[in-house]
Order: sequence, then C-alpha cells, then structure tokens
Amino acid sequence: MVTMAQLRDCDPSRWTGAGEEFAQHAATTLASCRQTWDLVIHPLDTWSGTAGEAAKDHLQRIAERLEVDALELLAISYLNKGLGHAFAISRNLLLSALHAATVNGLTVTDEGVVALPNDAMIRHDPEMWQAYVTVAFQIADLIDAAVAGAGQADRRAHDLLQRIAGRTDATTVAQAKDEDLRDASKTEIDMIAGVVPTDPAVVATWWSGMAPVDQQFLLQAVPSELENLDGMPAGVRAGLHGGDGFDRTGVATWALRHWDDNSDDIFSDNCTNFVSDALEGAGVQHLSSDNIWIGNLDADSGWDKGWQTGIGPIDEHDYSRTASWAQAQQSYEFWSQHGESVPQAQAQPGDIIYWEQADGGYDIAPGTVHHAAVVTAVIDGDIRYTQHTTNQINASLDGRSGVNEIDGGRQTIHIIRPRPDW
Amino acid sequence: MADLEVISAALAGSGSAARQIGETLQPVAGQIGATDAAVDGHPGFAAAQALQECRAAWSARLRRDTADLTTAGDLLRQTAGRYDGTDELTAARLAKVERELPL
Repeated sequence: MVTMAQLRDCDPSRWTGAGEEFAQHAATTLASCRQTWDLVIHPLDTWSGTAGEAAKDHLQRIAERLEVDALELLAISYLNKGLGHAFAISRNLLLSALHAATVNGLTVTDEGVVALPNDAMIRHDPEMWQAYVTVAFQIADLIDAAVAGAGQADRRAHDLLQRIAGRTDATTVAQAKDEDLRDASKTEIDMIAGVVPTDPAVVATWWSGMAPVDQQFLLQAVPSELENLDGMPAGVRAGLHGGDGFDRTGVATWALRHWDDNSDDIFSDNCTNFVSDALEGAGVQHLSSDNIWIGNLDADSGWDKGWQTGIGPIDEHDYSRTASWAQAQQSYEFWSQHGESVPQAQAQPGDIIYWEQADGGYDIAPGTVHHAAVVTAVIDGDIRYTQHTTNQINASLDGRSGVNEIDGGRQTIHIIRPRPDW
Repeated sequence: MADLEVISAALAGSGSAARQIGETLQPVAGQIGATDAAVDGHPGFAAAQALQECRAAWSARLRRDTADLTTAGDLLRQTAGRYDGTDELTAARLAKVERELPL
C-alpha cells in the first residue's frame, strides 16, 4: 500500500530511469542473440558429425536463452516505465491537492487526513465552517484518488515483477514473448488506466488541473478510459470520438474488450477478420460490392460480411466474407482507398497497422501484406496493438518487432487511418 | 561411423566470435545504477522490493548465459586446434611411412 507521504516524496523519474536501463540491457542482449546466430551458429552449418551436431544444439540453446533474457528484461522495463507514468500523474494530482490545501489554510497529515484550521472564529461561524468542510472534502477526494491510483500501480507491478523474478529456470521463448512480455505490456497500460478517477466530481477537477503534457499522454495511452467518462469535458470526448465517420476510439475499445474472445474466429488466421470486426463494432457500415456480391471470399470489391451459421467449419468455407474483410493484403488495399496512410510517428488509437514482408521469412513472398491489427494505444511513441491469431492486447511494436524479425525476417509497417466514405 | 565434415577455420572463427559476444555482454548484468536508484529511493513500495528480486534473478541468469557462451567459444577454438593438430599429425605420420617404404 502506498501512503500519501510516500507518493508525495517519491521520484517517478527514477522508475522511468530504471525502465530505460532495462530497455537498454534488453536491446544489447537481443543484439548479442542475433550475433550469436549470425556469427557463431550459422558459420557452423557445414560442420557435420556427432560433435558438430551436439555443438550446434548447445549453441542454439544458449541463443534461445539469450532471447528469453532479452524479452524478460524488456518486460521488466515496461513495468518500470508504467510505474514512472502512473506515479508521475498521481503525484502531480496529489501536489495540486496539497497546494490547494495550503492556499485554503488546511493541513494534510502524512496519512492524507485533511484537517481544518484550529481557529475559534471558524468554529463559531457555521457558514464559514461549512465552506471549509466542503473544500476539505473536495481536497480529500483528490488525495484519495491520487493515492489509490499510485497504490494500484504499485500492486500490479509488484505482482508481475515477482512472477517474472521466479521464471528464470522455466521460461521458453514462446512463454517469454506470449505470456510475460504480453502481460507486462498489458499491465503497463492497466497501471496507467488505473490512475483515472471514476467519481465525476473528481474527474472534472483532476482533468482541468492536469498539465497539458499529461493530458496528451493519457489521450494516446488510455483513450478508451476517457471517451465515455463522466466529468470529462465534452470537447475532449468529441475529439476522442473523432470526425472520421466512425468512432475511432470505439474501434480501439472494441478490440480491447474482445482481445481474448475467439467466438468469431472461424478462420485458421483471424487477424484481419478481427480488425474488421472491431471496425464493425465501432459502427462502420458494411459496403456491398458494386458488382453482385455472391459471397465469394475472393471478391475484391466491397467490405462485407454475410450470414453466418455459427458453425465454424461451415462458416469458414461458405465464403461469407469479402477478401477485404478477412485477408490482410486485400484489407490493406481496400482501406488504403478508403482512408489515408499516416507516418508511424503519427499513429493513434483506432488506426489499422499492417505488416508487409520486406525480405525472406515465414515463407511469405516479399511485398506481401500478411498481418493486421488495431492500434489501441501509443506510449512514448511506441505503438501498442491488439490482435487475434495469436491473441495479444496492447502488444508493443518496438518491443516485439526486434524479436519477431529473428524468425520472420524484416517487416515494413503501414499505418492506415480508415475513413469510411460511403 | 558417422560422416564427418569440418572446416576448422569456421570453428575457430565461431569460437572467437562467441567469446567476443560474451565479453561484450558480460558487463551488462552489472550495470544497474538506475535500478538501484529506483529501489533505494522507494523503501516501502511493494514494487521496489519485487524489482530488487527481479534484478537479482535476471542478472544472475544473464551472467550464467554469458559465461556459457564464452565457454562454448573457447571449446570451439580448442576443438578447431585439435582438428588441425590431428590433421597435421596424421599427415606427418603418413609422410614418415611413405619415406620408410622400400623403393
């Protein structure tokens, strides 16, 4: 449990610094892993015989362990950076509340209890007394919200850090990437979302008293928490909704709510189907083909989803969705025509992210767009995406791309901002 | 008997690379100044205590993996030397036999 005094005296930049240190170590370790493959293992390809095979097996295990090390160090870095953000925002709120207390002649104990001035005149004037009590309650609510926000971040980080600390002897690359890194990336954003108060009266004061840089950070990191939050200014909510003909934050929200719901995953690879479902979930209307659509999955016009039996094996083969709905390449081509390509640095929640194979890997021809996901957050310039096949929530583009390229080859990233224009 | 093909220069090159990578990575596990600052500056925070455990556990593992890589590199270089040595010794013995054959 974090106390008011601990939050007041904490230094969020130290957590950020620890996060950067772990991120740097992760990058160095991953580079060493790659070098081990390129400079140590691959040159031994021609070494045959019992000793050669044993040596290569041993070196591959070391390289895999280094890859796990890099992934776990990265996971730890996310948690530290998340703490840095959560503590900074909570502490700023606390300092604002403490300042307000001082200005109003109130005192606050280290436990966060707000005390009225020990003044006979105030005690004997009911109106003045009531005015002080009202302000004291408002300040106490802000202090409680700040301490609660920091406390939940501390607990979440503690739980996952402790789990990761115990994983040194039992972690595979798949576990490190698809469990620990995934959970750290998710927890980082959960910690940040956890600083958002829910009491409408507190929300209004909290938001208006926040530094613009913190506001901008939260709009990119946890838009789903803010879009429909009572107490938020109408203009901010409208901005999150977007003026693109659909609710762009709603796309991200839908993806986050269904990240682990496979009920509509009827294909062997459902990444693009999930993106389309998220757009549909946010209110984007289907587009029937100009031609008579016969429900052929190979149709290259329109963006549509037909009647489903609900029985996966049948639906999978009844050609009920256009290629633009369910296949990454055609989806990319469709939304490029009905949207705009934006630089990676300008990505925002609600955009679609596509992966194009840049060179050899995954047995995919270079130039092929083979994967899609929904951008659900942007943290310190790092795009976080949510996807199916495999299910990931708020996965880090920066964090995972380096690791994925070891097996899958180099990728070109495309960010498309849909503009349904029909 | 297994088929055997070996290019000893490749083994030696791989071994040297492994040692060099290991030596570059070795100091990383000990560079924890910023993490220490976070832990030391926040007594009483649950996350600080867990971070300390994490740092100790993963620093130890990274040291172990780095040491394994360095050791493997040394073994590769030794193996390359032994292959070369065996090759030269065998060639010398055969040359000696050749010389001692009756004309």
